[in-house]
Amino acid sequence: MNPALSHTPLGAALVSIWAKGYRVSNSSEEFQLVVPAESGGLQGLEQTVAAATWPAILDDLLRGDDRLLKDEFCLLVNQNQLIAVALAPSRDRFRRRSVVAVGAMAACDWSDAQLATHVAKTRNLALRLAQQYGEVLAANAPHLEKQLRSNRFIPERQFQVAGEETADLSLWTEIVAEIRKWRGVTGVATAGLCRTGANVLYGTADEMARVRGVLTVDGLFDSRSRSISPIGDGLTPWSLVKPEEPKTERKIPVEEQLAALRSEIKDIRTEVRDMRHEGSVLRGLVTQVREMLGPIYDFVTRKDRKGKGKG
Amino acid sequence: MPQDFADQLMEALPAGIWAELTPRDAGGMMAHEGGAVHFTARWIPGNRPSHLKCFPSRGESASATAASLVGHERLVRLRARLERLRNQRQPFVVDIFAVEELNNPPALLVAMELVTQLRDRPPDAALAHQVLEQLGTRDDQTAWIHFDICPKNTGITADNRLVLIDPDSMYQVEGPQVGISLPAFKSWRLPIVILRELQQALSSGLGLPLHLAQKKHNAEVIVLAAECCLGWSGRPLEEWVANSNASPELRTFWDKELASLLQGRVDSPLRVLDRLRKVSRSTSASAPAIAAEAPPDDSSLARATQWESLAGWRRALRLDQLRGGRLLDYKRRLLALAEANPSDKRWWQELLLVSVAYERSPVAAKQIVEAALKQHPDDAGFALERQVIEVWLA
Repeated sequence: MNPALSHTPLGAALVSIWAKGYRVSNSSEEFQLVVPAESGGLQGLEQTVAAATWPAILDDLLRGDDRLLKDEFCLLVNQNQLIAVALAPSRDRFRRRSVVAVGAMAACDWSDAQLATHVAKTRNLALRLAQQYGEVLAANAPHLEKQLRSNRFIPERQFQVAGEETADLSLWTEIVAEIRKWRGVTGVATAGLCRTGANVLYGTADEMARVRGVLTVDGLFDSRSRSISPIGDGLTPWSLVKPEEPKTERKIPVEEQLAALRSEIKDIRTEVRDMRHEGSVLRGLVTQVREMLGPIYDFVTRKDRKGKGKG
Repeated sequence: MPQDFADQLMEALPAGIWAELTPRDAGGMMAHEGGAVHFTARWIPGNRPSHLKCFPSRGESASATAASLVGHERLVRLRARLERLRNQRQPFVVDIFAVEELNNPPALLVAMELVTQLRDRPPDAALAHQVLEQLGTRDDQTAWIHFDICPKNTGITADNRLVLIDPDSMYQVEGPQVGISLPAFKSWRLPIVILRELQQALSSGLGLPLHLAQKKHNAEVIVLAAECCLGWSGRPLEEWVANSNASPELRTFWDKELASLLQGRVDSPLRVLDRLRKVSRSTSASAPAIAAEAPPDDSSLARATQWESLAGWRRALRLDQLRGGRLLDYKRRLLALAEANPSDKRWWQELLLVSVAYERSPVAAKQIVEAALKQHPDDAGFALERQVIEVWLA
């Protein structure tokens, strides 16, 4: 695990932000990493997202409808980390359409039964922050650039995940379950964000057919069947990688088997005899009790009859 | 509000943590020039609406009295106290999100959950039960005491919890004395008997004996509960009790309870609650707490004086509907009536309320309290008021 992230308590996430229109890490105002101000501050899977071909990604995204940005997602995973990337619309300083991308990276324990909840919350954090920062950055206050350049926009990148909502939990439960089945999954993403490092496309077979020439993916998480179908050799089921050894039974000679059967029959006979004996003991007890209660019963019923006669 | 300081804060507060920053006119003693400034904002990490209170830190050049209010040393102590309060998470204290020291401008930032102050809600008899049940003092050693309980410093959260706000007025019980560093509270909410005791104890400068701090706290809780039934009061307690126009059952109940309080006998809020429950059970739960539309009876007609003729103005003042010219107009009327009836304390008390809580002018407040003391030199309430205003003025 990355040393910095290993200090991040479970339930916390490191946040990174990409936006356009502010001179922060570079001298240009193009789409770039704005939190942290320098890419040297990125860790683990954040670096994978940073290495994506963002100009090409943005070209496609800005051709679409702003309202659909919230549905785009990317979940990258490795042995002990996950990062959820979310998008939201914004405006640059000239009021032109722009996009804010937020990554929320958290520690991940694949043996944890609550992993899907953790993923859903991390995704919710990324989406919520993208939407809020989209508005904050669109406001274009004069002091924003100064804060971004000096890393004061968010003095502490660590955010708590625990309090987040678990939106679309059933979807994330299925995605996590499917990732667990396949070896070689680097992440699952919608078409708009697949180029940030995910090799499984989330969508329909039609979408797959449309983007196949553009994207290189190893699998499709079919949004209808809710399962991953591998494409090519990139993904292999974990069960085939480590096939279980077939169980071989020791051959027992016929004589030994007969002897064992006889022994079992003998045991059963003994048990039946014991049960008969216990039954006769019980019957004896019942007879004794009946004899003891008989006089009392006769006395009570006589008294009862007399009483009724008087009445 | 010191505009420069507010502007500097808007630039200094991290925009990725505090969004939708909006200056807020919170009123109160600390909101005057040189004192605390308030904002509402959205706290992005927790995604909750919040109320930010910022105390500007005065450097070494500040006078001794100013240093006692917002000097660096006091703010360091205040920060430690507020962090302790946040870490201990008291159930009936507003959630504190952050306590931070800012460098440029030098200030102490306290961020808390945004609540609806009771003064901004109509009085509600059901709240009286909550107030008595939840806000009274407890005997445990880590208890906290609020030194200024009133409808402005009590609020209802979004999830309908009753909480005390203005956390810098909270002090922790530590042994037989409570170290009150700034004895700011609304003296007109307390009976004269208790005020005298407080004045005497505070003048020693050694803090407040625990029993007296608890007594004051509980008295304010009982008065707040009464206000929930009888209507918000800014008037002196004695007159408010005499003139209340609540439903007969509640008026009888509170007349009795407050009469006892006026004599300095402060019962446990829980015992007051037990008695209130009996009254509530005997009356219809659906009956309105305040007989606002009830026709005036003979006694109230007899009390109809010039004071009553300004009832609408008083109400508008407390609903924060008097601003600018209207506020000045009201003050002019009050001054004229105070000059015409100098022996009537009510005019002076109302004038003080206007100057302190609405005009937020320590200079004007000082003039009024001096004039009031000329007419009523032995009044403990005015004397204590002057003491507090002098600290504020400094």
